[in-house]
Amino acid sequence: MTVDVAKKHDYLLLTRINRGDELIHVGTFKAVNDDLAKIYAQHIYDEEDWVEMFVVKKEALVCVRSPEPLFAKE
Amino acid sequence: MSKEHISLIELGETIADNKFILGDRLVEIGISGPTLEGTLSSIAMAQQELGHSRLLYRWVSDLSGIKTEVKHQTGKAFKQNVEIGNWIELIAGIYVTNVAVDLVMNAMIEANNPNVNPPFTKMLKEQQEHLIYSQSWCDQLLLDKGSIPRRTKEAISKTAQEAKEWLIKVENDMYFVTENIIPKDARLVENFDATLGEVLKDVEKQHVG
Repeated sequence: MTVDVAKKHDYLLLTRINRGDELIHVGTFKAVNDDLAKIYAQHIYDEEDWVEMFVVKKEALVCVRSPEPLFAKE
Repeated sequence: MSKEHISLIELGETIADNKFILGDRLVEIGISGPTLEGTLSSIAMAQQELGHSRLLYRWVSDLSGIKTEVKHQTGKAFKQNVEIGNWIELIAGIYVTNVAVDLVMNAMIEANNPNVNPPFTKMLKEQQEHLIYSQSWCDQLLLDKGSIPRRTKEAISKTAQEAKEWLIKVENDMYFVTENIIPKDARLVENFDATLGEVLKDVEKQHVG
């Protein structure tokens, strides 16, 4: 019996176009591990010759402040 | 052209043909992959595999002294790769073929024979990415539900059988060893079995009962 299908994680991609530029969030995608996430990042987001690229699991982000909800919860 | 020289040309054409076919299948089958990320990567890798095959055909052409326009493979690609018809067979084909090809390429680089001068170093980084991609996908398929794990194992075994036969032929070719094209202690088959065994063993560990 299979325990679980390989778990997919949400990854954020952060890039810098040129040295000194800001690090910007350019996309989000799903992958089962960091190695595959790095490959996806390079293959999917190849529109620029980025000087720097980072992938990070969305769950690794630490929330400092989140927006107030627009509507009150019922 | 000496008879011995032919075996080196055959080796180059076998790798080039497999990469040519895999490049074609990565587009044909990869376009309808199970995830958008997997599909986009598949198309990017198709371009890279076709690029590798073009480099290899040019190298073979320099060895043989015959310049020909490549329109089709020369018939040396693994039969299982030619018959790839679904995502499972595609992933198994990319993984097993690249494991075998990577072992041969690294053995030739290690031998460092100045008369051979293969263009492998240019493609090793991309090939490593193809190995990580296909191994990650093999792991996912082997952990999936229903008949997918069994079909994945079968596809891996079928391609592995052909790849192993090829590696045995390469390893036992006296010309390669005596001319220092492949090191004497390359142990291609042993390393191939160990690598594939690891992938299947890792998955077995995650199954219960």
